[in-house]
Parts: sequence; structure tokens; C-alpha cells
Amino acid sequence: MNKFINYLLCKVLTFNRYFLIMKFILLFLSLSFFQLSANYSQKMMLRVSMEDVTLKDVLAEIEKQSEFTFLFDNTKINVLRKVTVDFNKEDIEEVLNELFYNTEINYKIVKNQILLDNKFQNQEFQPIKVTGLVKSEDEPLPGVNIYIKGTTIGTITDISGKYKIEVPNENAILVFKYIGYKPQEIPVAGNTEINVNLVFEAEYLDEIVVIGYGIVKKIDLTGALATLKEDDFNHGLVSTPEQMIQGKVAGVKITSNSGEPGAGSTIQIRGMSSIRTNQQPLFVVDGIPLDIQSTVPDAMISGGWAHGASTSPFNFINPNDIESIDILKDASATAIYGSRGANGVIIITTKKGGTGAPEIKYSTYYSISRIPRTIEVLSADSFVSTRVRLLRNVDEDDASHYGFSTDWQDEIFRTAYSHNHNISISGGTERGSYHASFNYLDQQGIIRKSDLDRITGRINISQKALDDRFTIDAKITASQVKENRLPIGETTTADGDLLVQAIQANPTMPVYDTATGELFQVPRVINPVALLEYNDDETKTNKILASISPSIEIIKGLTYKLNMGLDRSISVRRNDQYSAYTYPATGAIGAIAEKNITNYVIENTLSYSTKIGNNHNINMLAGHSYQYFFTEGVGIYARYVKSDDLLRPTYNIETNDDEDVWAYALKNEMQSFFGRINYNLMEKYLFTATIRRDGSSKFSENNKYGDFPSFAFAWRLSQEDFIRNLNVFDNLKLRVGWGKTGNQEIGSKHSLFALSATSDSRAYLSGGIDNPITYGIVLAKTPSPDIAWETTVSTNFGIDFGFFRGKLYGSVDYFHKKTTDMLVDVPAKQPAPTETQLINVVQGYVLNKGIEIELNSVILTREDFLWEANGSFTKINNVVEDLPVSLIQTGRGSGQGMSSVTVQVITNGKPMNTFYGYNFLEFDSAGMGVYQEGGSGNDTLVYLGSPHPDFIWGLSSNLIYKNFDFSFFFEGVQGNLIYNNTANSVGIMGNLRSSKNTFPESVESGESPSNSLRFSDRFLEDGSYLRLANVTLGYNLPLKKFTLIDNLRLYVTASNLFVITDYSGYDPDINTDASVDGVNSIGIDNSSYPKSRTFLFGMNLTF
Amino acid sequence: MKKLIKILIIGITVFYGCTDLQEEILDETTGEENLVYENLYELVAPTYNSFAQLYFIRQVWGIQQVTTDEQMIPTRGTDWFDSGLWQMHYLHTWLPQHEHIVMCWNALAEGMARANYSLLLLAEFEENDEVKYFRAELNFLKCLYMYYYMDIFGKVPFREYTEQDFSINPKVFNRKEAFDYITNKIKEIKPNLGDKYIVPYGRPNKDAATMFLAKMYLNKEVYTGEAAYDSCLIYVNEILNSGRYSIADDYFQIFAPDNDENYTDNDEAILVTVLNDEEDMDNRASWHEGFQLTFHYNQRVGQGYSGGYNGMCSQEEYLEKIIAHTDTSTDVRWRDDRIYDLTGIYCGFNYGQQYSPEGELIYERGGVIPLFFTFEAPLYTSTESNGVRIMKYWLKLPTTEPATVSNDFVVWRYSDCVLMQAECNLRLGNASEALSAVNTLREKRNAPSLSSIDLDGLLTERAIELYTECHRRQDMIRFGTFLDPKEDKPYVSSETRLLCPIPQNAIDALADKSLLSQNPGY
Repeated sequence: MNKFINYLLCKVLTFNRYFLIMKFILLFLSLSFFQLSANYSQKMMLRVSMEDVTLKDVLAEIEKQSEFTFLFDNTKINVLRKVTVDFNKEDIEEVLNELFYNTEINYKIVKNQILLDNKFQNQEFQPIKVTGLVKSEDEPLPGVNIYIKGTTIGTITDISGKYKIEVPNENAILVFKYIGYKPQEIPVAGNTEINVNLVFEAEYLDEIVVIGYGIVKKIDLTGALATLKEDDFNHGLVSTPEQMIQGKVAGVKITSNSGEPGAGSTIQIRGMSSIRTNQQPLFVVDGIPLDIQSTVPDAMISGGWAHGASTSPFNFINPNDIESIDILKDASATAIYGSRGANGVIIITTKKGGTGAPEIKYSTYYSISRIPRTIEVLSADSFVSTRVRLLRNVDEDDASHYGFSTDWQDEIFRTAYSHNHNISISGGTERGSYHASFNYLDQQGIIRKSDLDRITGRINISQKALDDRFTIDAKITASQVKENRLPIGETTTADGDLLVQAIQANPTMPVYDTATGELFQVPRVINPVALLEYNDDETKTNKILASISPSIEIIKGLTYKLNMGLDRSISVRRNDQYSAYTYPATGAIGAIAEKNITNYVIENTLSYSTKIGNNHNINMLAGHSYQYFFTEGVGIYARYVKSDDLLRPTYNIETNDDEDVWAYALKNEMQSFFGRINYNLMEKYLFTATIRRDGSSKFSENNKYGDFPSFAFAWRLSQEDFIRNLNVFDNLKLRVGWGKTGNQEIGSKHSLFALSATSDSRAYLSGGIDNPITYGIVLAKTPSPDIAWETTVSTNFGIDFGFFRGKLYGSVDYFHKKTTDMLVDVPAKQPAPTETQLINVVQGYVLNKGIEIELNSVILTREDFLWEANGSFTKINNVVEDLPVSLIQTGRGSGQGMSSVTVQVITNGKPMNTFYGYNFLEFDSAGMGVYQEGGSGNDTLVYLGSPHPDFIWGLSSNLIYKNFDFSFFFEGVQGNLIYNNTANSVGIMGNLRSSKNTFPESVESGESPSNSLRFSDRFLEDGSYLRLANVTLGYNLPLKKFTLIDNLRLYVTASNLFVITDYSGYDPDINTDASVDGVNSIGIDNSSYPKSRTFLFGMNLTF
Repeated sequence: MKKLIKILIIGITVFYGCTDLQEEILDETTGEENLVYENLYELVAPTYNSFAQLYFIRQVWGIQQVTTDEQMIPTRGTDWFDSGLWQMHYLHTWLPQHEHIVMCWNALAEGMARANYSLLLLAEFEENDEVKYFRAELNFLKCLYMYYYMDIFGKVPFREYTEQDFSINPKVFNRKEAFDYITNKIKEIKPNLGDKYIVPYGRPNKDAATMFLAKMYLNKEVYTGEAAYDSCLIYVNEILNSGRYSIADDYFQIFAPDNDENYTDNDEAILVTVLNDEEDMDNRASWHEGFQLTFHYNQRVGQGYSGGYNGMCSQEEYLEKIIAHTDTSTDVRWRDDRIYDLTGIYCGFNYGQQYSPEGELIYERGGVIPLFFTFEAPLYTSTESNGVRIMKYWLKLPTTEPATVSNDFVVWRYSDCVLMQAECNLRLGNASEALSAVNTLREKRNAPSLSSIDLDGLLTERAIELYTECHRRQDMIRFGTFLDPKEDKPYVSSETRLLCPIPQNAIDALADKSLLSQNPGY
């Protein structure tokens, strides 16, 4: 019977599972709102009916009936006036409005207190003078911050630890804060002398960090993990979470895929560990693991028209909503995410409401962005004179000399203006809290027409019930991201690439035809502005990420939690090429593609924590997780469209010819069981063991499940007497961890014999072409029935340390990370249905070894002055060994005459993606390239160096002086090579022969216009750089007089103020995807949307 | 509250009951579902598509043509270096990772694997004529892919159609083993193939099998060291005497865009691949990219043509041989003006000043230098004008598809048979019969009769009759001239260049490296 019920449930739930989840979420949201509003109003019912009494009496009555107290100054408020009242109301504000209507009295509600003020007498309250001495262990403490709680009024202790402060009334609370010490709050309560003894406790030791399926105090952590809070994030015009943490964390290398608004990034946590693409870490937002695939459909215009790099799948997240980002780096931390943990895990936690009165925040910024520098090309005059000098049969009156002078880069770049508005409200009580926000971002790109427009809303609520044993958290965020994009980017021939065309366009050509005023177009010549104007690429992505997680404490210490999450997006992309565009003259082209993603997760966890005796703390976790992934897409592509208006909702495309329609659908599931034990012995010895058993539908019958264990041990040396007695360390901890994680990010259906109808399986079987063609069905993949996980085993040794009472602390980690059973598309054992077969390469491995250092210091604390600095350093060695294949080629070159060029190889004994090509020596007297020759007298291919940096580093600093704050952030990358593909296809003299522009350096290089175009180290450049990524100057307005506004901060931020580099392209922070057959490439710059320099003016208001 | 607990219980129940992690196929299909007789054509079609795509510039065709003295793609300034791939072909300096060699290896393998999978599915059907023909044809095509493996690489990876576990190494045949397998197999299946007109145009029939055997024995000396021209002659004569074919009256009609309509007893075509520019058969199917690869950027014809890519051309010494061998003013094979008025381009060889369809002078891209195709075409330093351009499979007009063609590619044809008969006779000592065969052909082509013929002359006759038809490398190897010096290649190539190297990837793929060893010299 039970089985039957189970079956029925399954039937119902598998059909309607995500609808159900949505229903649950809505139900909980409404339930919780109801609860919240009830709580907030203090469950108060005021019934006051008094005749001819003093105001004082009325106030006393209200105090009696409610939890409110009134604060006022008798000298300003006439409380003895006679009033008559008759209330029967719930809302305190309504009561007060009526009570004080037409009087001099102003009120303000702060939590349970109601402050009364005289709006006509602008006098201050009679202040109370408070003095005192702040000490620590009997030593006076200079530089301690003292301020009145809830205000910015404050002071600092002098050299002898003494302070003086004026407080408005005796209800004020003084806060004593000093770096490295536990803050204290002391109510004034009529005292005029308050002496304080601050207890040492470094703030950072108190920090709570988020780990998979739980939180832990940082001092109890056994794995390698970095936490960034709001203050640590990159400021400025950031539209994705990746950009917020770029450069901030040791061991995490984040490279922009482009400078486009909302662009994606390449994230490597502890090196490149896989040959395939899809090496991004797992993103978990509030416990919901996200899909790393792009939510946006691929662009469908062909004919050389470029498609930009995928924008970030996480650009739907409103950066203002993020409270913290935790990055799990080693396997002992990520093993709880099992088969998705091999590339690290990034956990994003969004803001929750606090307790107390609602806090309303409004923040906004306006920004101005420009391209820092354009690429220098020949001017119109030198273009003509150089061509006349070097090319036979070309004179000044050559047909390609149009007699104008155009700076084409100027024509496409612009000054971009962006603005952002964020409003949030949060608050709550002891038992329920809420945070809601609304965000609007309008970000212009620095190239005309490109922009990103985002609207995001979020509601996070939390409610307790059943004597606080039941807790429910519900979170929902909905967003619409609208992107207007340009034909710039990776999948291109030079013809369709706006940026390449703008760099190399003939500078003597006019933008507009002077006779007609139309854009100037002649056959076979591209006018970059026409390419820009006559092509549209618009994507709208709607996304909902919602979760609900009720939990209940069954018995003390034992908690059951259910976590359900839904991640759903719908994205529509429209591409349009107008008939006015005459290169090539194919008439209007239109394409519409849609991609729908529905993923959900259901997780059950049981956690138990207990303390046995004084010395044994045990935390246990057991859980089950089910994840469902569904993606479907549909598209239409048409040439010779009769209308140019495809971007308008004209689905009934009329065309002379050529239409193409396609669709696909993929479904996958994962099921996992996991557990973790944390054992804390005497606060000194910490043990963690985790295990996850993951099953995935992507893998074969025999290999559906994989086990991913980890073990870690930490020893808090600073708790040992022999260390404590040294009196040097305030924290010293050794960490050792080992773990195994996996990677399952492969396509679908690799283990099955699946037949596809493809264009390359069509044939005529009934005679010539007057007979119907047969649409054949064929094995689209070579099946790999035994395919299983890729495995990464990593070991971590770390030391956490802190000296000088919190003034210097940090950590050093060494790691050894070995990836085996790599899933690689290797050449198939022919004859096989396809060229390659995805298999686990059991022999070979990729090894990443590295060291990470993080240092934080408080350099100075003086009266009114604080100076902090944080630095990070990472060095990683990467090598490939024992692959059974001699060379895997990748890194596709791009450009005319560059067909079939690959520039990188993966080969044994070398770092991944080592550059491989010709070694350029010089130009001979005829201006032809001379290359290193091999034994046979032919030019030979050699290894040319590594795209991986020797080390990367970051340095940020924070200065606070009185109400001013100042911060800056430098980041650097050292010793990597970048292949400048743009220079290889444009910076060559041959361009002049075909009436295209080139670089002045090329003219001086001695190269002949007849020199052939080939990949060599001539176009490999040092990609090292030092960037002042960010400078911010802020000012907190002293706001004693405006009781409405609690806090007002004004700031100005400059991003990307300067870059010191030898790299000749737009920017060395770049990674264009040039992967070949799914094999990753890195360190290639091919016409990428350049990064901008941005100045931003912002304001944060708190009410 | 009770409601919440209920939901929790549902939450727990949902997955425990449901998940077996079976992957569902939503947008594709499995073989079993489709194994119905109505789908017979769909199940066998992929193998025929591989056949149609085989004669592609970056695969078999390029290796058979651009390595010879007939075709080249010189580097024209910044254009056409393409990693040196075309230069390597011409100079015989290719390496085991040469992209076209790798692509060729894989394309042949794909064809064999598709034939195998189709054969596996066919085994499920009851025998009737249609199934019987398809089974024989699939075997024929599998043998054809093996034949090119044997010809180009000297080694043939082989699986029986029942062997569908691709983690297991294939067998590898050497040339001798492959020769025996193919000839035996073709003889075995020949009775099961249909007669001409019984199986539709475009599919291998009995005559194609006969021609296949003739080709095998013609080249047997190269493949096995033992000559078998007498055996070749038997099969050649079988076709010549069949009455089902003849020398075409209109030479360029053989290669016309609608050449499928020629399929009569007066036709030349013995084996063809059917192509159609209006169907997407994958871009590779445009085997020769005839117009586009060859002609200049400023030579534009028809709607949608944005001009050519100015790549491939012929070369001086080769052309001079032809000019010495025939009278180019009368020989219809040299050039023909049937589409000149519409395109400014001749069928056949194009040289000298180029004109637009309107008769205006065409210039190089700078707009100043007239586009004048020269006989001379230096390999490293050609200009836009160097080199004579060939258009044999001529343009369909008007056309909208620059990248594909609807001319069916003629793999084997009757005139080749005539020249093979001449060659066998000459090699067997019957010079007069050889001369008479050659002159019969030349008479049809409006070329002056020869008074005598030797092997050199016969090779040149094959050059003028069969240019760009994917025979040149095989012919030059059989006639012993493949390794000879040529323009910009002053040296005799090493004998190892008679075979292409096995792609390194193919060797790496097999766990047992001794199974597929590299050809000597690489």
C-alpha cells in the first residue's frame, strides 16, 4: 500500500514538481508576511479615552498600554498642556499624528522609543558631558573609537586612554570599539564618568563563515576558505558577482572574457585542472547550486558575423543584495559538493533583515566610462604615403584613397553613462525578519549601441514559530536582464567583427556619403559604422531564483531541514541584419532563438550538535539531495527577409528563400547522499570528515555513482600553553586536509547510442535531385558506455596566524592538486562514428601545485585615523603528465589567411596550453619573415612559452580619517604570455595591399607587404600588468540636524585608473575563448570588447 | 503547522520513490525505436552522405590533386598561408599532424563506421530486393573508403559491422591484406548489386563494382608489387562492351550543374555522388567549391556571390605539357564559352585579362592593377593575378549559394575506362590497340589524332581528359613521376612521400602502438 502511495506521489510530483515548489514558496511567503506584520506592530491595541488631562498623562497611558517609552526635554515640550483624546487604534503613528496635530511637537520612533522634539525651537537638548578612561589589562588604550549608538557622533581616546564626549541625553548608549578588542556598549544612564576595560579579542577570530550546508566560526575551520564581506568587494560599476571579487582572494584567478557590460569571466580556483572547457567553479546562492551554463541562447546569424563571448550567467544577481561571498578552495572544504566541487565552490549569501525598526536604504550612483586608450593606426595621410611608397602601381589617386580622414575607433567608441538605483527595506523582530530590495541598473557600454539594462527584485524573509523550534526561510529573486550586444568576439572571421574592422578600416574613407547623407558603403568594403548600425543583437532574460527552507529542531541539538529551490530562466535573443547592409549583399537576415532552463533542487538534511563533557564538541550532518536540470531551446533563422523589423515582435517572417528552424531539449538528474562530522577536542584539536555519494544521469549504468570523501585536521596551537606563554601569537593554527572531488560538467547522452538527424546525414537515394532527399539519422556521438567522473585529489597544508593583538594576521597555504580520469574528447579508435570520443583518460594527469599567502594588517590607529592594508599572493605551477596522446591542439587563430591555425598545445611535461608555433627571428632584406629552422631545413614548430602567470597578487588599503574614508586596490599579474591575435591579423603590412589600415610599428618593422601571415612568437606578448583597479574617496555627512536621515554617505570611485603593462592590445586582463573541440584555450586576445576606465559618483542614504 | 509537516513528508517522499537516474533522450532517438522498415532509407542515408562529402578539397580531393603538378594554392601575400598546409602539400613536406591528412583519415573512418552501423541495423530486416541492394551498396561504399585508406595511407583500420564497442582496438590491414579484402568483397557482393537503371542514379550498381575491380587491378603493382594489367583489362572490357555507356558528345555537359539528367546509355557516368545546392547536405559536400576557392575576389556572378577567394590555380609546366600534346584551339577540353556571356568566365582553363559579365576590365583589389591571370604562379610570392584558373564543374546560373554546388561529382566515368584500356594494352605490349583507343577519344574531343603513344603521352592524355577529377596523384604514382622535381620544388621527393603519414592522433588513440605503426620516413 505504501508503495502504491509512493508511486502515486511520484506520478503527481514528477509532472508538476516545479509548479508545486512555486506554490509552496508563494504559500510560505504569504504566511510569513502575515506573521511579520503582526509582530511588527507590537500586537498593540491602544484604547485611550481621556478628557481634559495633561499631555503627560496621555503619554503615560500609552506607555502603559504598549512597549513604547517617550523621551523628551521638559524645557522644550509643554507636557502640561490640557488635551482631550479618544483613540481606539492599532497604529502608533496614527495615534501620534492625531495627538500632536497642530502643535509644536515633532516625533520620531526609534525602535521602542519615541523621541519628542520642538520643531520651532531649534535648540539642542541639554547635552550631558561624559568623560572616562579606557584601559586594557591595566594599560591605558589610546585610539579607541567611542561613539553614540545609532549616530555618527563620536570621539577617540587620547594617548593616555582618556576621552570626553557630549551625549544628548541619559538614554544614550556609548559604543567602545578598538581593533582587536571585543566592542562594548554601555548605557550612559546618568553617569558622567564611564571607565571601561576592553577585553582583547581579535575581531577576525569571531568571524562566521559559510561552508557547504552550514556555517562555522572561522577559528574552527579546518579547510581552506576565503570570505569576502561587503566592505571587501570591488566597488564601482560592477554588474556580476565575479567582478566583485576579482583579484581579492589568493588562489583565485579571475580573468575577464571581455569588457562588455555584464561580461562573463574565466575563474580558476587553484589553477587549471581540466583540459575541457567548463572549468568554472560551482556557484551556490543561498544554498541553491546554480547551473554554470549560459542562460542566453547562442546567436544564430552566420556569414562571419561575430558573436560576443557569453555574458555571465550570474549577472542577474543584484550586487547590493550580497552580504558575503565565501570561496571554498581545497577539497576538504568542497568535498561536501562532491562531483561538482573539483573547481572550487563560490557560496553567495544574500542579506537578511535584522531586528528592530525598519531600515530603509537608498543607494545610487552615476558613472562615466571611456576607453582608456585606443590602438594607434596610420593616419589618413601616412596611410596614403606609405601605400604609395611601398606598393607598386599605387599612387595618390588610387581608387582606395577616398580623400577623407576618419578615426574609425573614435566613430564607434563613446563616453558611456550609467546609473544604478537600489532601494531596500529590512527589519524584523526577535522571531521574524525580512529584507526586500529593488534594483535598477542601466549600464551603457563604451561602444555605441551596447548596453545592459537590469531590473531585480528580491524578498528574503525568515520566521520562527513553535517556541523558536521551527524556522522557515524563504527567498525569492526575480530579474529581467536586457542586453544589447555587438558583433564582436570569439566565433568570427574578421569580416563580421566590428572591432577588427574599426581598427583596420581604410582611414581615408568617409563615414557618410557626402552626397546622400547615408552611411558610405561600396562593394567589398566594410564601413564599421554600417556594421554597427545595421546589425542588432538583443537578448532579454527573465529569471527567477526562489527557495524555501523550513527547519525544525526535533530534540535539542537535532535539526531537520528541508531546502527546496527553483532556478528558472527564459531568454529570447534576436539577431537582425538590415537589408541596407551591403556587405555581403544577402538582404535582411533575421534570427530568433529562445532558451528555457528549469532547474530545481530538493534537499533534506539532518544535523545534530552536542557537547560531551567539557572537551568534546561534536557536530554531525547527514543529507540527501535531488537535482533536476532541464534545458530546451528553439530557434529560427531566415535570410532574404522581407522586413527589417525582426527585432520587433514579427514572428511571421516572410522570406524569399532559406529558413531554418531547430529545437533541442536536454534533461539531467543528480541524486546525492552526504554526511559530515566535525569533532572539536578541547578547543585545540579539530577534526572534519565528509563524504558525498553523487549519482548523475549523465554517466553510464555501471558508473552512475561516485564517492567523494575528505578528511581534515586542524591544531589550534595558540590554545596550547607553550604558545600562549610566548605571548606573541593571538592565533596560530595548523591545518592539514585531503579530499577527493569530481567534475561532471560534460554534455548529455555520452553513454548512450543516440541517433540524430543532422545535415551531414542527408543523401539522395532515389535518383537525382528532382527526387526527394532522404533525411538520414546517424550516431551523433561515439558512445562511451563506461564514462564516469573526472577525479581531483588534493592535499592542503595551511597555517593561520595572528600577531600583535589583531594588527597583523593572515594565512599561508600550500596545495597539491592532481586531476586524473580526465574527461577528454580524444581521437576515437577509428573507424568510429565521430572523430573524437569523450572518455576518461586514465593514464594522464594534470598537476597544480601552489602557494597562497594572505596578509591583513592594521597599520595605524590614531585619534580619528585608521589605516588598514590587505595583500594576497598566489603562485601556481601547472603541468600535464603521462597523457597517452602526443599533442592536443587548441587555441584557434582567427583572421584571413589564418584558417587551420592553432596556437596552443596540451602535451606531456609542459603547462597546459603551452604556446606552440614558429620562432620568429627577423625580416630578411626583402622584408620576408625568417624563422627558426629544424633539422630538415624547414621552418620548425617549437614551444614558445606559457599563458600562465608566474604569480598574481593584490594589495588593497583602507584609510579612515574622521568622516572621510579612502581606499584603493592594486592588482597584478606577472610573467604570462598573451597571444595578440588582433595584431597578428591587423598589424601586418599585407593589410596595406588590400587597402586596410595597419599599425605604425609594422611600417617601421621592415616587413614587406608580401610577407605571409603566420602565427609566431612575434605576436606573443608579455601579459604582466599592474593595475590600479579601484580608488574610492567617501565622506559621511554629519547628520545631527536631520532626524529623518540616519546616514548619508557620498563617494567617488575611479576604476581602472591606470594599467602599467607592455602589452600592446587594449588590455592584458583578457581571455577570448578560442577553444577547439571543447578543449580549453587561455591567454588569447582576439578582438575583445575593451575594458573601460570609469568614474563613478555615488550616494548611500539610510533612513 | 500540520500543513508544513505534511509538506516536509512530501519533500522526503518525492525522491526516495522516483530517482533511478536514467538519462532520457528527448531531442534524439535510439536505434530500437526507429528500427522499422519504413525508416529503411533514413537508416542507410548517412553512409551515402559520407560518400558525397568524400571528394572535398581538404580531404581526399586535396591530397589527390594539390600534391601533384596539376593544382596548387600559392601563398598570395597575407592570403592563403593557412599554417603552410597548402605549401606542404605542394612541396611534399607534410607532417603527421597535417590538418587535411587528419581530416581525410577521419572522414574515411566516419564513412566506414556509418556503413557498419547501417549494416548492423539492416541485419534486423527480412531479406528482400531493397534490403539486398542496400546491404551490397553499403559494403561497396565501405570498400571504397578502405580503397582510399589503402591508396593514401597504405594502412586500413577495420571493424566488422558487428563490432560496435569503440573502446576495443580495430584490426589494421596492410596494403596487401586490404587489397585482398576489397577485391574479394567486391566480387562477393557484385551479384547482389542492382543493374544500371534498376537501382537509382547515384547509387553503386554492378558496373560500378566492375569499374572498382578495374581500378584495383590497374594499381595492383603499386599496392602489392605484382602487376595485374591483364586482370584490369578484363573488367575494363566488360564495361566497354556492355553498351550501357559511351564517350559523351558534349564534354562539359558531363560536369554540368544538372548533370544527373545525362543518365542514359550515351552517358559517361559510372559512379557519381548526388549533390544539390538547395539542400543543406553539410558544407563539406561542395567537394571542389569550384568557383569560390579559385576565382578572384572581384569576379562576381549572380545573386549572393560576393566573389571568389582567389586561391587555387594550375601551373606553368603542367599547362605547357598539355599545350604541346594537343591543339588547344580545337580541343573542346581546353576551354568553352557556354557561360562566358553571363559570367566572364570560361569552362576549362582561364588565363589572360579577366572581364566582368558586362565586358569591363577587372582589376586587382587595389583597383589599379588589371587582373591578368598568368601561367606563372610562384609558390611563395604570388600576386593576386598569378596562376591559371580552372572551372570544370561549372556554375549554375543564376545561383544564390556561393558555398555549395548542384553539379554531381563524377567519381568514375567511361572515358577513364577507355584510357585504362589503352594503358593496359600499352603496358602489355599492344601499342597499336592503345593508340587506337586514345585516338577514338581524341576524335570525340576534337583533338588531332596522334601517330604514336607512349606512357608519357598517355599520362598527359589522362591529364587533359581527367583534370581536377581526383586521379592525378594515383596516376603520377603509377607512372612513376609523382616524386619528380617541379616548379618551386627543385628536388626529388623521398620515396616515403608515396604514402601519407598516419595521423599522430590515430596512432595515439590505439593503446597498442605497434598495431598501427607510422609509415617509414615520418
